[in-house]
Amino acid sequence: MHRSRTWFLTTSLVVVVGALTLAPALMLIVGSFSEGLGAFGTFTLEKYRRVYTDPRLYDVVWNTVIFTVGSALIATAMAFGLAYLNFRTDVPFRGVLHLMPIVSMMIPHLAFATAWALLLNPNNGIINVFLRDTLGLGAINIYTLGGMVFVESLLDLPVAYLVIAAAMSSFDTALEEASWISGGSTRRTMRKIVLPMLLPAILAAVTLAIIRSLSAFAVPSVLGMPGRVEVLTTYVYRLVTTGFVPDYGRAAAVGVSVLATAVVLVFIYRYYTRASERFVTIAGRGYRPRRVSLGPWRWPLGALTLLVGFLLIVLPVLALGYVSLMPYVIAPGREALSMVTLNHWKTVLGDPLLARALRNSVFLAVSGATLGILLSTLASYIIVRERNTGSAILETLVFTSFAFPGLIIGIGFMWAFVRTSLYATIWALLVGYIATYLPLGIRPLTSTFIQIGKDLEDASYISGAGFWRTFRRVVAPLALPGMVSGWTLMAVMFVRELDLSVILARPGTEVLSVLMYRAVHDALWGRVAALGMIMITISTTLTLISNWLAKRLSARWAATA
Amino acid sequence: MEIRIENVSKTFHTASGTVAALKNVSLVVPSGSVTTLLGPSGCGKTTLLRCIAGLETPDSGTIAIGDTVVFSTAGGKTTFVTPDKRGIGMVFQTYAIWPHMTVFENVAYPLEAQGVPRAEIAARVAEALAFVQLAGFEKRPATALSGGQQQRVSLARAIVSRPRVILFDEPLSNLDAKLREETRAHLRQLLKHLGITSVYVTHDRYEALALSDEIVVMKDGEIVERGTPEDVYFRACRRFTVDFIGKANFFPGTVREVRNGAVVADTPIGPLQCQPAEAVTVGQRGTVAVRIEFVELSGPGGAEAASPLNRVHGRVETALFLGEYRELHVRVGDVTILLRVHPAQSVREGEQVELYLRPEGCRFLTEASGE
Repeated sequence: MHRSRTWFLTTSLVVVVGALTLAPALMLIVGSFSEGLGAFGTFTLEKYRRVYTDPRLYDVVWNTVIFTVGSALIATAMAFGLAYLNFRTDVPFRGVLHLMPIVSMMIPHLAFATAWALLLNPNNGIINVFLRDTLGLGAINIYTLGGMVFVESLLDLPVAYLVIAAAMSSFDTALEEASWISGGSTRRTMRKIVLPMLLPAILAAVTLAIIRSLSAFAVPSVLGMPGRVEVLTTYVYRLVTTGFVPDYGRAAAVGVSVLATAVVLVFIYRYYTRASERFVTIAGRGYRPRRVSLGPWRWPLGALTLLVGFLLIVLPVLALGYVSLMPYVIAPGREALSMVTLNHWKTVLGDPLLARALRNSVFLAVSGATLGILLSTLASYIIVRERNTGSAILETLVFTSFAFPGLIIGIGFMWAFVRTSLYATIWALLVGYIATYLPLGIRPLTSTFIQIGKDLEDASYISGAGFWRTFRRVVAPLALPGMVSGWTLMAVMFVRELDLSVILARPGTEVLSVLMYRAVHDALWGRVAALGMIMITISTTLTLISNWLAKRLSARWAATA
Repeated sequence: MEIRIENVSKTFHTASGTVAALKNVSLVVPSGSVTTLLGPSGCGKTTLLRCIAGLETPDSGTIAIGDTVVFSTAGGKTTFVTPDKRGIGMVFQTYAIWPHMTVFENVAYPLEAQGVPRAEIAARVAEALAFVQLAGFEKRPATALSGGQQQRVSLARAIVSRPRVILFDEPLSNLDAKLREETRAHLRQLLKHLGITSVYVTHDRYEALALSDEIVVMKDGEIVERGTPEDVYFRACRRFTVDFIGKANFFPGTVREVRNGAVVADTPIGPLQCQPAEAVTVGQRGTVAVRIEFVELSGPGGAEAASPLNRVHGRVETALFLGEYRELHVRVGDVTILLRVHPAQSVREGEQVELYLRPEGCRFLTEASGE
């Protein structure tokens, strides 16, 4: 298409997306050199000097390294095993593995971390009580670095799984077969063929999991704070929430390092993703990969995959549901059954604060996802279809913002908003949400646009239609299923959003996760559990509705070619 | 409507370097004719078609459709008419049938874009569909069509707005072989009937020969030669053309004598009488090209030897039975000559045979030989 048609659109998108992603990052940097929030004052290195000479910081960094790398490695190892079982073997219950990444998304990380605290806290954790009283064993303490690594690795698992599964599903089994034919044993084939070819995808998964763990706030704050195990996000959070005057300057000075690390990691991730895509081989029609027969291991390994699904989804939801119906945390049994109460639900649902938070959360989810997806649609279209400087800038901006840890970028937003009328309003959260989660909307739409052949658009231009008619009549309708799934993803993320919200929410603009976060720190477990269940219900409902809608839409014009 | 292309160049910049897709191409497509751009993939034929459509912007040159200059870089000022304003129809290789619309909506689209009144749209869509023998298919969802039907919907959409020019981008290449042959004959009738200036891109020589008024042979972003199907087939001047359109034997040759427009050239298999592609002089080096259908078995079982000229002796190296014909590889000295004989004629491998290379089918090309 001729350049001039989309020049205006491309430029506007670069300006809007640039403002959304660069403004908070730049304000974070500016803030780290200023005297305080509100009054930038004179340029100062004081914040850096004070924070980087804090002897505690070195423990924090060390904890962070163990927490992020540990959880990423465990998550990727599990993901590789599960993906291999799912795509290459005759393991039973493969359907569970397909649903796992989607279903696990509905559970907010805060609720997930809380559920594990309820199950494994050293005092009255449900599993611990069982271990101690019934089996006579010692308790497992989840409030440790090891506990945090375990829970975070479960949260990183679906992400790592999606990356590896994508590579594995496009892996041509003929390459494996050729190795067997050439006399390579199963082990040799794995070592010489499968692993080297999947290595870029595995490294991409590890890097992505590290990025996610680096920005994780829910698990460190729920499981780390009781045992005083601090990582960078909780350290930064403490700087802005404790003391007489929250020190946003010191928080920013640390945040700059976290942000820089995340950005470097995201470019490493991109490098490995591209390396992995080079190996993609499209298998022909009627292609059915030969599955490795597991023999006697078939059922034990099947049970293992079920166990992962159980730990990831069933157990935490059961724990939350159960605790929400108990007057206090108590091991399940005959006694507990007689104590079932709806009191926590009554308290939570009768709370005017909840009504307001619910309104705020739903408003942010619906309007944020709608605006976000409109922006994503236009931006993805330009990224896929235009090959010029503008679209390259757009792609890099979106990709870079994929690295941004919510809590850190939230502090940048504080500086960006503090002297505007947006400060302490719901609009501040709306802008922050869209800016931080834009990559989640861009991704499904980019792949949608890649799938829509360019000929379909060219045919419209040839037919005498201009750019906007083509966009309205051909591009948008075909992208609709992608738009719906991108919308769902964003809406679900906004319902559970915690990292930005704990920084940006002010009295009056609380959202559900912030209420829940406060209840966690007041140890109001029954209330936490009820709130968690409410958030899971909203996410699930949103997903079911939009999945149904997407299915109906794509069934209407499922391309038979 | 005549299409005039002058000095059009286009370079693509890719990660692996720059590719000159079109090098100073000039061409006039006469009004009402069917002109085919023929060549191997990467020869620039599709780029040229897309430049005419306005889907690609050339780097320089001029393109005019009728009296309208749709692209020009003359005088340092770029003129570019966007594709929607060029008044053309196009049939895409992938058909590009919009899957979310019905057949009617697909075909009506160009008329809606032109702002044709609703009442008229229905009638004209029906007319276009009848023309491609899809009357009554209006309400079908586009995805419920076979490949051949999609191809015809695509054609109906291209002609419904009565464009000045229709462009075809390998429209038959996605059909299976049998359907392709049927559609070829049908398409020829339609093109004749329409009488709209058509530019047709293909890499299939049969399609080009069967459908065109004129064939433009392209290679490496340049036009090699052009002419009627018979011209480029029988009277090609370039080795590339002979080789690309059909099968031929090539021998290096030197002109020994020129007589009454005919030439006798010395070749590794002996002197051959041939037709020169252009004026030649004694001693000039070049290539003798002989299409395989001009090579016959003579001697026992073949035509009776009249003169020794253009007759060579060899041994059958390979004889392939291919049903419709037998393909023979005959070793003559250091060279192998390819020919086809009737399948009923039995020839054994190892047999000594005499070949007759018919002089009217031997072309002396002034291009140097060399693989």
